[in-house]
Amino acid sequence: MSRTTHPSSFPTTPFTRLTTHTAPVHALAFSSGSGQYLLTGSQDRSIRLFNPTSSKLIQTYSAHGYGVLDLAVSTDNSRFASAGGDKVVFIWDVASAATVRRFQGHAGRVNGVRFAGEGDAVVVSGSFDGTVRCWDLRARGERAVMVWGEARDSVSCVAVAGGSVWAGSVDGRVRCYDLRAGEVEVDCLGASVTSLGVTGAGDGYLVSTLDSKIRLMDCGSGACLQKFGSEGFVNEEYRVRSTLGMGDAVAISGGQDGRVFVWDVLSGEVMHRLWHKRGGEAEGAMGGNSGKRDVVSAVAWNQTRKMWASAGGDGEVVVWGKGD
Amino acid sequence: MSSKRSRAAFETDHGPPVHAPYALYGTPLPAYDPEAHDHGSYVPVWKQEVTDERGRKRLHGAFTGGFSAGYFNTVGSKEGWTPSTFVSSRGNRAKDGKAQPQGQRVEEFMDEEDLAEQAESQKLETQGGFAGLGNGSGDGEGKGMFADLFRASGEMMGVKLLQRMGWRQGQGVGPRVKRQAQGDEKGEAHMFAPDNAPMITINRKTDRKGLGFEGESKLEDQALSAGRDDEDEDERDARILQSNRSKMLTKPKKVKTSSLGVGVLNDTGSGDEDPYAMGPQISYNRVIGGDKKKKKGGILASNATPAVSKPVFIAKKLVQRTTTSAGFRKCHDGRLPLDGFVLSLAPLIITEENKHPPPEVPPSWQSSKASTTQSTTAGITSTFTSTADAAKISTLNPTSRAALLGEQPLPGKSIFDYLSPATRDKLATATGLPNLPPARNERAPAGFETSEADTKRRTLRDLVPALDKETAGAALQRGKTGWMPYAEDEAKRERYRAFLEVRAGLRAELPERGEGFGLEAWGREMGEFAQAAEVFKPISGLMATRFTSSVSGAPRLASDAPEPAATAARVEGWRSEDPAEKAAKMGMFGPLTRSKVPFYPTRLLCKRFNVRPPANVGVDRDEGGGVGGTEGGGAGDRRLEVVGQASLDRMMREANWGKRPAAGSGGFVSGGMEGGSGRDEGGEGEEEEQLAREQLPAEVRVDTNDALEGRKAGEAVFRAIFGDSEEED
Repeated sequence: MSRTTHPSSFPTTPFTRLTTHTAPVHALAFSSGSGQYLLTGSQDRSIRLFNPTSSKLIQTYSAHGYGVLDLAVSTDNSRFASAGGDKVVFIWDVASAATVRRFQGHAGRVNGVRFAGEGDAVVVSGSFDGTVRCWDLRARGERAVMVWGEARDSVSCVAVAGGSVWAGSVDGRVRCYDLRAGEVEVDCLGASVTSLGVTGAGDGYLVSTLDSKIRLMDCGSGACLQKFGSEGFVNEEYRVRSTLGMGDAVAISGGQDGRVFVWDVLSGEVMHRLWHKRGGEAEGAMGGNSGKRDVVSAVAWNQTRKMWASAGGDGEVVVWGKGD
Repeated sequence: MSSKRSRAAFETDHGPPVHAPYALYGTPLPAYDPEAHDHGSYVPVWKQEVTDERGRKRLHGAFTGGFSAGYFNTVGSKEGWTPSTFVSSRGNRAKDGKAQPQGQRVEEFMDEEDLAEQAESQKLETQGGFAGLGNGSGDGEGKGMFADLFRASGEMMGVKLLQRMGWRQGQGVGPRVKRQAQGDEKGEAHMFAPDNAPMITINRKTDRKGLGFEGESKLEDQALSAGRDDEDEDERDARILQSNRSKMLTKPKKVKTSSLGVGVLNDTGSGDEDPYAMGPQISYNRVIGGDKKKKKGGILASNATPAVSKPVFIAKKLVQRTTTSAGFRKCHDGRLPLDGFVLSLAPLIITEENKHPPPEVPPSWQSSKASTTQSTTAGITSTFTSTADAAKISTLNPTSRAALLGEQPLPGKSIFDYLSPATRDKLATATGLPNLPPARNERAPAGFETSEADTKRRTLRDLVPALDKETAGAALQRGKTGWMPYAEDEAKRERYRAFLEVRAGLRAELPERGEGFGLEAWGREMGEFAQAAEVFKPISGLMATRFTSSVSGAPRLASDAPEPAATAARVEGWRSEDPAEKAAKMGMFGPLTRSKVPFYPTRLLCKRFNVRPPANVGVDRDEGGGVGGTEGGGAGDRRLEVVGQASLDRMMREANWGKRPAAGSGGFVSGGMEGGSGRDEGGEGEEEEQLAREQLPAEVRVDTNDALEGRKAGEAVFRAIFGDSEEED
């Protein structure tokens, strides 16, 4: 956990609000490298490419027949992977806005997708059918290189770092498939896992569970390094993504009530409670009830630009940055 | 041609040869004698001549003709190659092409040697129909129908020879017989040709059945055999296709078809003649020349013209068959059987039983042995009877037997003591036993009286269908937590619940019967309840571990439709029993919540990740070849991806877990070992075993856990477990 910036300088100003999507946004991904662009995947079956600074819509990728549930951008920014309700993993060419590959094989909706391997040679996807599948991008075959069926319930999220693949499942376990050791480390978390994020060093992971808790777990021992929670932070029903930010110094997660919570990783204290919901401050003061439109289901952190984005059930994407 | 002379004659004739005084072995050539013209005689080289096959001199020296030999040696005519007569094709062009085709034949340009060569290349062959005895020996099976189309038919050489010797078709072979003409009883006897003896058909044996086995003769076959005689030719041909026929029964027909003779009088070649008016027909007689000859030699040639009324020809065989008795027939060679013998009509059936039944025992016969025993034991009238028979005969009942044996009557009371006389009568009529004990109609002993309602319940209870206690419990549990059928009818749901409780053993009294509810309707409803509850039958064994209930709730997406209100009542299911879950609930993350399961990344995946493959690398599906290591079980399991290897291992382990009572930590090791070693069968033993031991998942149990209760748990352990999250508390 290397901290390049102090957590106190966390950007908290919403400077752009992207309202192009007409349905809840499920996935956010900044482009690799400089993070100049933002990809959003939505229930309206489209994937949109924005320039977050100018809030300009650059490209719309439409091939999905169902909602888009997860996005992953390759390191060279030439391709990105998307997956969703149509059980198919799509590999897109960013420039031509056409799908390069389509991997079929999952029996249920695909909840998570990540690039993996050297030179992004593999795509890992986790699905509602309880399997994690590894697709070979170098081969022409359409069959999965490997299928991991250890999960006893839907696989809700996948994460990749080095030679390991993490898969969080609704059965309350995070399974780390260590290719080097040839073994699966199963960490029981007690509640359904909704989000997984690996630290930059690959020695820990941030996991959100449906017991309204976010934990930073140690990969080596399986111990819980830090537990994040707060009164007001409720995550019991929806798939809410969380992420580490500021060089793993903060943990960011959306909540069910339209707020975004930011924790200091070291102390575990809540740093910020930010309203993603439009006009949320006033409503929050009135104590209005929250519906599914208020869920902030996805957050994404951009390390190089020190900006982050949040999106949710209202279909709006808020890009947060420095106030200046 | 020179004949060989004997040595003695040679020596006496010529004396020792002059020219070869040194010949010591063999017969020396005779001395040259120009007058002898002996080809074998010795000719000096300067006197030898070359002639062609006609003896013409062909080599001419300068003094014996010189070059004038020219054309004799080459062209063969004085004119050389020029045509003998020039024919202009202007006037008779067509004639040139057709009327004189032989003018351009190849043979025109052949000399003698070429012609001889050509003649040599032509093979001399017999005609196709030459060989064979009769017409049925070679291809007896294929006779008739299409076989006639393909078979080379023609007059056979044997027939030709016989005809040359005076034989006519239709006659038998042999010396003439003196007898009266047919149909002419009083006429004087003439010499007649002997009767035609039918050929013996020897059927080639192609099956593997025993000799004399006639196969399973069909019923239809036997029934039809009587009426066979008036079947026409075509049907007879069709019958050839039937393989399993009784030879005996079909013999007359066969004989007719395969006979050497031909119906001389009746062979008109048409197939639709009345078989009774016809002589036996033969199928090979298709030769044009033969036909003519036959007509010439036939007795009645007028048969060929249809205008002339046909003389009724009655075949000799038919006459014999009709006039003589059935058993008086001739053998196949036309002769009568030996004196005293009669040809059998019925086929010999070897398998026939009781053909020679054992002789009947005369009724008056008495065995000598039996009489002796009877005489010795005449006084004792005991006949053997089995115990069962004796028991049947016996009229004693248990009470009378007890009385005979002098037993004391038992103090207990019989059921009949409590029965009413009416009930006893009913029993007596039902069982048919008249000697039931008398009914005393006593009151039930104290403590066993039944109330009126109780008896009613008892009968009602019989109507409640059976249901497993576990099933009922599961259905009840399910009903408490969420769903229960009959949501629309609260009263019915109450009855359903009561039914479940009765079957689960939680409730003694039966569910109440509703107002205006008949007994039958009530019973039917109970049956319906039982069927509804069967749904909740718990899944047992390994199958149960494959499924999990979603009681803890999958995360919903922000786009998901709102669920009905019932979701609030979610409870923890079986998973709360998992020790890891318990530890996670308590926040004790670490070794308690962590377990390790081996898995087998494919080589390809490791390559794509640029990771050195682990020791237990699996087999790539597309590679197929053996990689060594643990593919013993891996390849098979990977093929059906439904159950991954790791989950299989886990299932095995859990199955062992369930079977093993609390046996300490040793149980786990062996349990894990079983899972591991079962998988590693066929791999290298020692190394694999060690590997399996290393990869043992950190199994934990809540009740006996070393990390929690062991005395030696050090500071570090506690810190590792409780370190971060619980310190502040």
